[in-house]
Amino acid sequence: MGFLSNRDEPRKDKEVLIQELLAHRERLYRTSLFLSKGNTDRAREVFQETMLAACQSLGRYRGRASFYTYLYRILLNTHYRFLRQERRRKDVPLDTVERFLGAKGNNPLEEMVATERRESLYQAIMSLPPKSQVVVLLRHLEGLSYEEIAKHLSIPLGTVRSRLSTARGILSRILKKPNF
Amino acid sequence: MKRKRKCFFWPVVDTFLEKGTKKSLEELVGKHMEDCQSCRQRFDQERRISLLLADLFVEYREVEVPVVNLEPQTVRIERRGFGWLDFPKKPVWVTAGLLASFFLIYFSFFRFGQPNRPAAVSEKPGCLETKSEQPASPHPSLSPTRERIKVRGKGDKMFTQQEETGSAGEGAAFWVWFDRGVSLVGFPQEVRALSQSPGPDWTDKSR
Repeated sequence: MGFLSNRDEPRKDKEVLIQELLAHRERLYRTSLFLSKGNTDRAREVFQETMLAACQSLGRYRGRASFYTYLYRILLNTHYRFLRQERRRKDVPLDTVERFLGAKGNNPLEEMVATERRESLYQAIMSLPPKSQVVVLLRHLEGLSYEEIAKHLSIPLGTVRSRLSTARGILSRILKKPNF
Repeated sequence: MKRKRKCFFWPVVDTFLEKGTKKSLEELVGKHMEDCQSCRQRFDQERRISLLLADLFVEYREVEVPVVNLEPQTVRIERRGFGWLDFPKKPVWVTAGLLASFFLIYFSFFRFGQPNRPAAVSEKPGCLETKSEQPASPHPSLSPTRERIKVRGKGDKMFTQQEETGSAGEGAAFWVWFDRGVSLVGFPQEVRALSQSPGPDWTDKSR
């Protein structure tokens, strides 16, 4: 019955994977907060769901990609699931309403322009391919160096450079619009 | 659209962006960018994107991470679904199994052009009549069966069965079909003989 036990790589121990998961906790929450556009309640829900889903599917991790990439993919899937549910219910979080009304800022007009700019940038980042997206987030949100990103994602340094360059190229093309 | 020509200094600018501001590198880049328009544009663009991204992400830097309880008691860290089915090339094996079972059923029950009947005696054109080889039975319902087989064409035969002594009707037709089906599977001879009997006469009111 060799075909039953034929795996790509020997699996890591579950305890080790849980330790790795806990090590990536902060990073995942920050990314979740970014994906939720700063809505803390939603970010917490997405984060919680991601952690649970990651825990339950630890046995399915085959080690082809780095563990962070695996977790990031689960986080993205959870985020998209929440988005679909919100669209179905047509929910608008209160935080978003406050932001658009400029309740937190001093000058409503400035706040509105800043919010629009932030929204465009958010959409630009979300339009990137997931591989470039994760590199951009690790670089600019987490502030990791190129070497650290390469180590985290288990990819060569040149790949990190090229993915970041691709992402910047796409972002610069999007941000050439007149409101930027 | 004409593509911009790359400056040989671009990798240095990239390194500058990657490593951050180093005194020596800053001087070198600054000196070069006084003359090179291409590098200056590229540097300004990259720096602008970096600043925008930094501005966007600054509010997410200082956050309090919620506590998640990942104790084994609270989270069931088990593989969901059927563990015994979780092996590679699962769809291939499942598809092969389904196909194999389909062909087995198909060729065992519907063997066209191979009637599993003894030699027939024609009574009228287009019809064959056969007599089963069972011994005489004391009960009228177990008496020898007479079957009439309609021959429609070459290789395409429709079997109907009529009885002279009893009226098993649809039950008898089923047993003919069943007998033809199970003959390939290999039922014992006794079972086959039983299957050829028409069964009790349910219309007999004396019972």
